[in-house]
Amino acid sequence: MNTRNWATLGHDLIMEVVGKAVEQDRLSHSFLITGVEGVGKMTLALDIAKAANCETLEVIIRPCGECSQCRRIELGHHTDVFTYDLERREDASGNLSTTITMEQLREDFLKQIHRKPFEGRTRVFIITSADLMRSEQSNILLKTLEEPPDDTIIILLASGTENLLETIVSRCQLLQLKPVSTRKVMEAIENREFSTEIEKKEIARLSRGRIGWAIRASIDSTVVEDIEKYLDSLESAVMGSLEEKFEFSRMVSMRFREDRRVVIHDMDLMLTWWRDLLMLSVDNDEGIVNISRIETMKLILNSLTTTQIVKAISQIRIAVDNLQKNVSPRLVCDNLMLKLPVVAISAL
Amino acid sequence: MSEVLYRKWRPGRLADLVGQDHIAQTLRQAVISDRLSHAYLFCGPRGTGKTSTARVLAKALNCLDPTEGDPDNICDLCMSVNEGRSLDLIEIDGASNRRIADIRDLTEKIHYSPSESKFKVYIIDEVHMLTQEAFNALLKTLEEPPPHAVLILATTDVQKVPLTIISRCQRFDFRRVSVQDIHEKLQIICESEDVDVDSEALRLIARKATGSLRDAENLLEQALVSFESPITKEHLWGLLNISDNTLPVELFERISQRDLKGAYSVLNQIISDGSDARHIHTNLLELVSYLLQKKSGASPDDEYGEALSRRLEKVLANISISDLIGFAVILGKVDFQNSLNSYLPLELALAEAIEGAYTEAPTTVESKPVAIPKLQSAPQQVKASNMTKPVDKKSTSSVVKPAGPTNGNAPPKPKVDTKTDTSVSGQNNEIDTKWNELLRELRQVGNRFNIAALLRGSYERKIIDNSLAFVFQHSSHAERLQGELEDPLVRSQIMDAALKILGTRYEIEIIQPDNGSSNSGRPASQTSHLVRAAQSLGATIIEERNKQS
Repeated sequence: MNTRNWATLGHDLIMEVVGKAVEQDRLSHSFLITGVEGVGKMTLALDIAKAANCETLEVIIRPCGECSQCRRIELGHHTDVFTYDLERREDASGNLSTTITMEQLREDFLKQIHRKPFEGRTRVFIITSADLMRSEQSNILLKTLEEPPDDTIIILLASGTENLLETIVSRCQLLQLKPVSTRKVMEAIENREFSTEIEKKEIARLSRGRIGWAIRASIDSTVVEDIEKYLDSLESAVMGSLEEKFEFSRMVSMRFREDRRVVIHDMDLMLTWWRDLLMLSVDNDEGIVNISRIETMKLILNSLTTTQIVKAISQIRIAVDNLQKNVSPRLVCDNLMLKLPVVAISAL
Repeated sequence: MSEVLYRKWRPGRLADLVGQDHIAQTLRQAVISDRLSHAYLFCGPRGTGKTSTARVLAKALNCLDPTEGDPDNICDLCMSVNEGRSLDLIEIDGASNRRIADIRDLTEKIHYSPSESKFKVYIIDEVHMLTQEAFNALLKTLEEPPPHAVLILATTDVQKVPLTIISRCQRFDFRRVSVQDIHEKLQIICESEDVDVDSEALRLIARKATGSLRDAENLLEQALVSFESPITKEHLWGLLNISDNTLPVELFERISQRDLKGAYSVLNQIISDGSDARHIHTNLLELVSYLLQKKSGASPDDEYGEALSRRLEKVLANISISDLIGFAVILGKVDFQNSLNSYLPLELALAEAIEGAYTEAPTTVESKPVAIPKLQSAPQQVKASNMTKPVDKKSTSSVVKPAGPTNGNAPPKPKVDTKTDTSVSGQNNEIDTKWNELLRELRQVGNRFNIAALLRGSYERKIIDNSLAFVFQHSSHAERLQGELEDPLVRSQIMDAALKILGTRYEIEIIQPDNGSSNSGRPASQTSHLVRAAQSLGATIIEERNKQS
């Protein structure tokens, strides 16, 4: 084998940049990888870790993905690769807390970083959700990030640079992972099994460039089923009477109490559905995400104007915003249902 | 692993500092004339040289053979600092040692004499992160440290440093480095690294670095690693995520032609190529700013090349400056926060720009009773009316206007002279839109009472013939205003304000409520929260009854 074995898919330009750096042994000591969830940030970080520790003699094919170093990193057994993640709290709900704890950083990170590599050549510290760190935590990193000890790479993962201190951004080499083009997502899931061709297409579009999500959806069939179920109930709520709408809102708010992230994602689905309506209303067929729903949407469209759709979308965004601000979920959903335009379907 | 550029090229002498001549000059004089302060505070944006200067200063103080205030970088003491093994330079990370215990440790040890050099230098970097207690513990030591000690504090965030700390230090403000200076420095680096980078490319890097040398060196490093020399501007585009400008220009063409469908297909094309929504947004903003400058006759930096510029010329000919501004405003409102579906805000903005569809920002608090009829939104709704069905306006309008003159179920107004009928509604609208300006103008006016405050209590404003009439709900307000108006100075001040804001020097008139029958001047539908809430949910008032009956 004579090519690099990157696990990261679809980011050719970035991989070329990183590859060149590996080849010249000029990897930066700190990286900041940005991109939306599921686009491949963690995979890239592990790729860098592998490349920096790979045992293959020829630098051009690092990481090989086959030597024990690469494999151990892949499996998460390597003792020189550290991941600082959002802490899973101990309480009954098992929710993720929103930040990395101060203790983790001060007691663990700052002490660990001054030790020498144990089994590999380079120690790699990966900090996920760096943009969720509070200002004290980001500040702790500053000095270390600027001049870490030798043989150490620090990799920060974040969804964007906006919520990071600019002093942090300026100290890192920035690798921005753009959403992967739909074509490349299609290629990546080409060989996976799907029930229909349309479903495959839909997954590729729904992924919106989050290649990791698309692959997960292709493996786990419940992802698609859940989406279909949700869209069914959404459609009947939109077309239904006020009672049905309130029933829908009751269901959503119940789920919100159980797991709010699921509901936020569902609201996102709702937004894509309405967005598709918007696209359809201006006769733009190519951009539609939920392809399997086109027929129903066309029916609904008969009684809606573009302005109404735009308004509805902004109302949903307000609702999402309110949910995240801890407004009572039932109130938000009921209110949203009242604000959505009335759809009268005569043909049904 | 080799050292990255920004560490390799850290200034070792004051002469190497880029773009901070005012600071270098002062410090050099201080070292030469041996008039050092015992405490320095370096502040300024990232990547301007604070930490570097602090280290240079530490070396310069102790150097065995300094020349013109600069360290020689070859004597033992300088070398020990450069290699990070000096015992007399103590660099503290203020962010991870921010507690009072850490500072106590410092104040204890600072009294020991330096081990090998003249001065013991403490650099506290990121000092803004110290806790309040830690700052206070430092105060006494900072004011009068032992003669052998020099403290240098460095921070990007000087507002967080207590004033008592700042006043004990000699403060130096580091400036953003100019594009020209960064450019020159990058050229020097390229020459000594023996790489060939296009001067235009370096200029692009310098511009993108927004005044931070470290950012620039980081970018250069990335470029050097990724591409073979010679490196040109085009190489950097991919690296800096500057996409080809053809598609954004095409998108803008569609916008100027008001072709929503076309705009969406261009946007789709950009999306399926794999591009970040924020980038498209920035691209569009840059484009609009470029066009605005072009339209107003300025000559902005040409980034679009010949072919695109010609297309943009065509767009410019067909678009008015107010349309451009309108679009810029819409783009400026786009908020990507909390948006998982990252293209949606952009798509909404396009719909708003092209169709004039009215969107509400997620942050607006709704149904909040507004004291002044919100007429700003009216023009937008009018604009949208060509595609809004008339029904829609009623069913979705959610803001209940408490006392708008245009309100459908207007409350019985307090008794007003018959002259009212002659009032021109256009003028009245003008008052309402400029009402806040007028109030602001009158903020400082008044003898016993503040006129602006009194006027705020008025319930309606009218232009009646040649006078400006205020209708009051409560007679006490009206009486107070009457009292104030008796002073001719106050009266003329109000009239002057009216002249300035409304363009006419109106007479001032007060219309009192006719007391008795209705105590508040407003029917229950306007005052009760419950009724308003019900209305915002779509209820209409069928009948009103008095409580007693």
